[in-house]
Amino acid sequence: MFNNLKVTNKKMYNNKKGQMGETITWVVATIIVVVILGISISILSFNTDSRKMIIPITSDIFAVKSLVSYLSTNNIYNELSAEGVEDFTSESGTLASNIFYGIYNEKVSGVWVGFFIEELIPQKKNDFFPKISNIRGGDVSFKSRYAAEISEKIILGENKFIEVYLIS
Amino acid sequence: MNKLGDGKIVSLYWFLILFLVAAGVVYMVALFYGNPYDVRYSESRALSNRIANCISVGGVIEKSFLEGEINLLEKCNLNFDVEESYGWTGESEYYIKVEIFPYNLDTYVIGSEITNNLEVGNVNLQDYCKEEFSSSNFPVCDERGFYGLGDDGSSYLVNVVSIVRKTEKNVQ
Repeated sequence: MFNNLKVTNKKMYNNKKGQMGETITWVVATIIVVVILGISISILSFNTDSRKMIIPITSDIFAVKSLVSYLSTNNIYNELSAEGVEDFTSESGTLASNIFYGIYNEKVSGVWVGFFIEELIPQKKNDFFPKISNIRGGDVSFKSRYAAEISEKIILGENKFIEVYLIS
Repeated sequence: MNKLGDGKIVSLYWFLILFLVAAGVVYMVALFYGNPYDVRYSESRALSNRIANCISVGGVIEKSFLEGEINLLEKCNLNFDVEESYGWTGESEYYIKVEIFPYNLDTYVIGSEITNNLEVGNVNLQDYCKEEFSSSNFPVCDERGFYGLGDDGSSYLVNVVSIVRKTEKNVQ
């Protein structure tokens, strides 16, 4: 009889242990669910600002207009597009420097105007616009911090362009 | 008996968790999509581009902009009509100003502004181009310039200022 009682007690003890284990599992699961929800909601709540439309800007119509007008000034287009010319002359370079630095220097962190002769060997330095280290030849990718933000170019001849880079 | 009771409690618990998760998801979606998109920066850039295209074609500034007073809205086929909400009137939500300066190519000196009164819209917005108003709670200003030529080959610097208010709709 005592033996039977002992067995029953042992069974009850085991049952209670099982029940406690199950309860702890549910409590922990509930806590995890609540914590995950709480984290998600608080992350969203921190962003109280309106959602800004971020449109990658790689082109600027104002820069194009300036470049077209520059090339139309004093016949600079004919001068620069002539065969063999691969750099600014003193007059054309000074004018470019005055126009583009004058307009953009205070608004962007880097301005570069120059020639792009061969696709693989971009000439990125001239006497009027010092080389900007984070320009990647002719490539504009908004995702990369090593690329120009805005680049506009006008064809001067076969494989020969004049380019404007504005980096912010 | 006990087992049946346990089953009921577990079902209740499941419903409670399900409700909690669903409510959380709904709340998060409402929180995210409840905020409006702020399109004013794009809007002001588009407005400036439109004005620039109207002023200069092929690098040459149209004569009327250099000569006399013109109506910018008519000239550039624009209107300031806005949605009939928030008590807006078209004039109160936009401001455009065009400044044209002669540019001396010999000395590289910018001359004084050619006064053509080229502005339209709510004049009170023009202060919002200052640095201190750059937060999203204020009207958005786009100020850009370009170099252009006159009919006779003379040089000019053109500055275009576009400001869009519409704060109620774009900022929560």
